[in-house]
Amino acid sequence: MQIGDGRNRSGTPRRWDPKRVRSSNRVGMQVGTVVAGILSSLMLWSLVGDSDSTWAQDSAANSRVWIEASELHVGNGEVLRPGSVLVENGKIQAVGSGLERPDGVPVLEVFALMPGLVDAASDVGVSGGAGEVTSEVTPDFQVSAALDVNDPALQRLCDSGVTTVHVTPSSDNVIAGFSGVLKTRGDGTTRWLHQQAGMWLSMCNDPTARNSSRSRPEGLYVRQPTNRMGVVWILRSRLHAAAGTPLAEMDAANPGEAAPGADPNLRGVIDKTFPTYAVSRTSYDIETLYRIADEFKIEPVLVGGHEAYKVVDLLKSENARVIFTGLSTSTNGPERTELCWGTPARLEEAGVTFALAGDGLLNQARWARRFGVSESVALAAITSRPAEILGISDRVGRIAPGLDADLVALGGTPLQATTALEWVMIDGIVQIKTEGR
Amino acid sequence: MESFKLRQKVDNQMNTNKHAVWRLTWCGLIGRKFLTRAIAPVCCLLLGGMPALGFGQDLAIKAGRIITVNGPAIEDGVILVRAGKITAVGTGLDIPVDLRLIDASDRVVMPGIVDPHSSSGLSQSNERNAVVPFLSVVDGIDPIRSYFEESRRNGVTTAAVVPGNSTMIGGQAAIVKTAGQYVDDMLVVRSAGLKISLQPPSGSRMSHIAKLRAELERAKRALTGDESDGASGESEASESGEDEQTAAGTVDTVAESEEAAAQGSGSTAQANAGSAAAKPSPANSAMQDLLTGKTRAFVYCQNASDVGQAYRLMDEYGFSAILVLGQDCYPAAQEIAKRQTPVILDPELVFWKRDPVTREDEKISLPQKYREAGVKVLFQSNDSESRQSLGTSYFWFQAATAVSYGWSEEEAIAALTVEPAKALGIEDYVGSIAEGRDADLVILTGHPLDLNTWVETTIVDGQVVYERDEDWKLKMLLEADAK
Repeated sequence: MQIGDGRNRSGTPRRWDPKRVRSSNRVGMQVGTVVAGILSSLMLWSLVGDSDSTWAQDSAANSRVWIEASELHVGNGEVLRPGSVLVENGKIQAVGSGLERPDGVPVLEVFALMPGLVDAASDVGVSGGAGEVTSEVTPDFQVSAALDVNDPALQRLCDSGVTTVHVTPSSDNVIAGFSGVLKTRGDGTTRWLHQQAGMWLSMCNDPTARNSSRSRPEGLYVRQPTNRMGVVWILRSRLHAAAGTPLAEMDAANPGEAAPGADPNLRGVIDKTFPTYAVSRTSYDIETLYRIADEFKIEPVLVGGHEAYKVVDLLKSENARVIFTGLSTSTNGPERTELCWGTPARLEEAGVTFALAGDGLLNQARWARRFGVSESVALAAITSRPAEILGISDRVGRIAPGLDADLVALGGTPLQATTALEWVMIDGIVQIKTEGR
Repeated sequence: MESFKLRQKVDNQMNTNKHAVWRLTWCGLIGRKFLTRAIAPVCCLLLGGMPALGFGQDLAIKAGRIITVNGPAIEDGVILVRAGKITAVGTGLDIPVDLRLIDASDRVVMPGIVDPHSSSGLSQSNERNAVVPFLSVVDGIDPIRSYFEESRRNGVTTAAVVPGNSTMIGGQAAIVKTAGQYVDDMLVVRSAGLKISLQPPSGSRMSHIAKLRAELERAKRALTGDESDGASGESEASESGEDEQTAAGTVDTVAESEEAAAQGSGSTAQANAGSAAAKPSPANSAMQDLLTGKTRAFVYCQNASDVGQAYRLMDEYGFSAILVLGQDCYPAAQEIAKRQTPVILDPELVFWKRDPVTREDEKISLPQKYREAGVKVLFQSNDSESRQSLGTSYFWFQAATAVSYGWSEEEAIAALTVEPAKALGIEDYVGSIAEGRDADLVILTGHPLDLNTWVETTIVDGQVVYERDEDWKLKMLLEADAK
């Protein structure tokens, strides 16, 4: 084992030390090297634990913990004041106001408790780049194959309260491949909820970015598309090949047989065997996306949606689900879309289901609130809504019995910038505890 | 500081009114560059609630809560304003009939925010030449820049406009109010400090510090009357510059020739500045004011070692400074605490730092680090495209972040108002609400650090310069339908 390489390349189980005391890390790493493969990661950590912290032991996966909060935000808009939670075996056992505390269970008291945040779209942790320059259509790619589960970026996400993250392929390809959903536990154990979460399409200008005729193509091969029309054509022709029906007949209720040699993963898009996500930011790309969606009878989740406020009626009539990334940046974003802080509020008003995604997720919900979104929807947009959109609401996104014990404790009400994040729990284990904050 | 020319407010009012029309015409005729570059913003400003010309409306403000900053908060109080100054603050005051009444009885009033360091009011904040102490931001402030509009929108009423962080001796800062059409209308302190950067633009820190020391040495010599360098006057720039180099000793020569080799045309200007330093003149007065304690320096430190260098230079040459700290300066927090130097933090207050050996990431919270060390810090905003999040653009958000890392709300609000005013030496004029202070007031919809609070009205020198009701830009951003 390389001493001093904190990233632990051998892949042995390893837990972040919330207090960042190196000595205890070292013990963990060495023991881990010796017994890796013999013990499961959970067992290992319940044995090694954090010698300096009773927190982890108190809340280890196999034990129980009782949490009392003055404000318990369930995640779906409901707030219990006060509320308590019983965590057992990494799952939420009971939630309520005025529950009776079982004897002999360690207690954690916090001001506010909310579900671990769910980041619905992130490129975190993909090692070696998430794009493919030699081909614009790569439906067989999976980010799960390239994910560095020890990437410190996952730890940073966890520190910001994100406990579940949807890792996406780059939007540089028209058909980019499969995304994956995982927990942000950085203990080296793979915590996938879905290794093939959904197929990613790009109905935006990104795939042309490196192919512009004014610049030299980046790769050895010159690839399509070089403009937005090319993006649309590639998308439509590939879907058409998978659907196996002449375009004119696509209105028929059932798609026909796939063309010989059609990509089975693209056929999956047509058959809706898994969800489809599509990146569009400008209003006209969003319109094109739903035109194509109607042609092939697919129901993509819209990712981006920066100019969604211009096409709210369309989104409403399409019953669209939106992963909005417009608040993750302070500027106009990659396509210089028009800035409109009021977009999330407009979506809420129109009854369009949306989640927020990207950097600084908790602060994004705060900005959304400041810019007109109701408190309950702002909180849901980083917890239960993304969980619903990703199809994992039976696991995460709310504080409810039977769900994973992924919890965030705060020193004040969640939607204030003055509020400190106190600890983050994943699967019943406190991952990050911030001192003096 | 005696040299600060505090502006004669009343005189200004008269001037502004009388010459308003003339000035507009003048602007149209002569300011061609100005106009072509900024015609759209000009129109926007004129339409979007640009303050009407003329200062010092007499006001009476009924406030639900007055955050005076220097004293306890006042509930259901009144602020009386005459000729741009606060004449009375308290409860149960009689409101004279001739005052315009602003009813903010369900609102919170706080003093205007003081921005202690910004280069955003300049169209270009750094020079190609490394040594330009004779330059003044007064000649480069562009009142039409969105920085000033944003400032009024966010309750910032006073700003120190300072040259950028990349020029060794970058010129003189000025303190301005954020409302006005011409820089002269805005000036509070014309010469508010000399900007010095310890970050080498290229090359080594050794040569950078050597060059800086040579300039300070030259100015010091000129002060003490030691003119052994034989400089003969400003007009013979290059020639006298060469004399200068020979006379100034090894360090100078090495520094100068390196500079000349590296920068080409830069050497002429530097020689110019150098020779000018020999005799008192407008060109070198800034350096001499610094060494005689008439003004301060704003010293940009990129990392903790620069902080040490700054203190060495301050001790050797006997000048005082406000330190403008890069992110990596926090290891010097103990030293700064001992000195009690005013410091301004990087706008990205919280960031991750990777240990080069262990590759462990550590989260650094600057407000927390400095507070634990006992340093009083000031904030600055970042409205450039390089900012990473929305929050860094707003002083209230910076202060709220500090609170989330252990500050008290009082400390955080003081760090936006009275503390920067003290650091800039203008606390008798701005930064708190009290009789005799400038009537720089912000009317808020709620607590200053609350997420849902908006600036309702901004008042500078008794003049309403921003009203949210008339802010169509904000409306467009917030209401999708208004687009």
